[in-house]
Amino acid sequence: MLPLLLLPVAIPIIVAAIEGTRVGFEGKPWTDMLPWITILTAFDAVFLVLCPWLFQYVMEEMGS
Amino acid sequence: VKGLLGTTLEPMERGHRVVGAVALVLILAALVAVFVQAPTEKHLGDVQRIFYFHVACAWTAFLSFFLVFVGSLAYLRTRKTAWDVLAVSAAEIGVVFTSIALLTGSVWAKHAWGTWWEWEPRLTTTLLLWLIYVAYLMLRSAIPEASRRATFSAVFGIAGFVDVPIVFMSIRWWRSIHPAVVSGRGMDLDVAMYPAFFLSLAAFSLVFVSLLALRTALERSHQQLEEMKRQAAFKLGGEVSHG
Repeated sequence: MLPLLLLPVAIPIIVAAIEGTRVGFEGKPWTDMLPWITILTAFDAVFLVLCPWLFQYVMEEMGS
Repeated sequence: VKGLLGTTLEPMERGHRVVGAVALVLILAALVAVFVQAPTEKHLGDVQRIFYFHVACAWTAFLSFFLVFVGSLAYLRTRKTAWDVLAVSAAEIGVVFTSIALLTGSVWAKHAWGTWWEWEPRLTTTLLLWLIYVAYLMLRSAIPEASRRATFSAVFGIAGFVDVPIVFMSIRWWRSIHPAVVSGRGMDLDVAMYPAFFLSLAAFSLVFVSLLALRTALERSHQQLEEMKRQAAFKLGGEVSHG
């Protein structure tokens, strides 16, 4: 079940990381990398807030 | 018990019927507007007419997933089953409408771009969205216990929803070839196409409301039935142990 749930949620991060790295390897200007970094930053910001908060509910249910 | 259920359901059922009837009328009106009233597009011809239902389906799908998010949040806060019922109903309908949006978009793309599918931000993220909610439904079917199922799917419903704003913003972040109807510059649509466009939006929204009402009622009966079965089994088990 975990891969099935994790894959669709994590794909934007994987794609953004790969595309950003590609831009870096191809020696293109920094501005080309910006949209991918924006996505990564947005994901970081959202999940760093969301996960600690959601974690308690999962743990509560696991314990019961 | 039967009489009680009957009296509580009747006014609601009448409401469902009214919404369903209005949705039907609006769908017919939208069909007339799309195929008769709306002008033929200059470059794409008649194929462009699929756009009206395509956008309406995509909008309804986003609305559904927003309701999954709301239902999930509210369930974690209140632990009321009604919110879980809302979330699962909206998720199912959302998957259906996302499928329609993907398929109709594919038909449009074949004509406009010359290909059925393009690994392009808007399309890729919409497909992801579809996958997320299919996974959501699979997660639900994998957990038999009601409160655990509700909690886990609520957590996943919230985590999955953050993909939606990214889908929405993807056109601005990447340089997408997918056309944006509503952008910072206002509506990019001919005024003559407004009736077909807005009628389709209204019609699909009402179809959604109608489906949601039916689906939540079904889910409620389903959960009541499960609860009754559980109680019956409990009672039966008690009698057996007494005897």
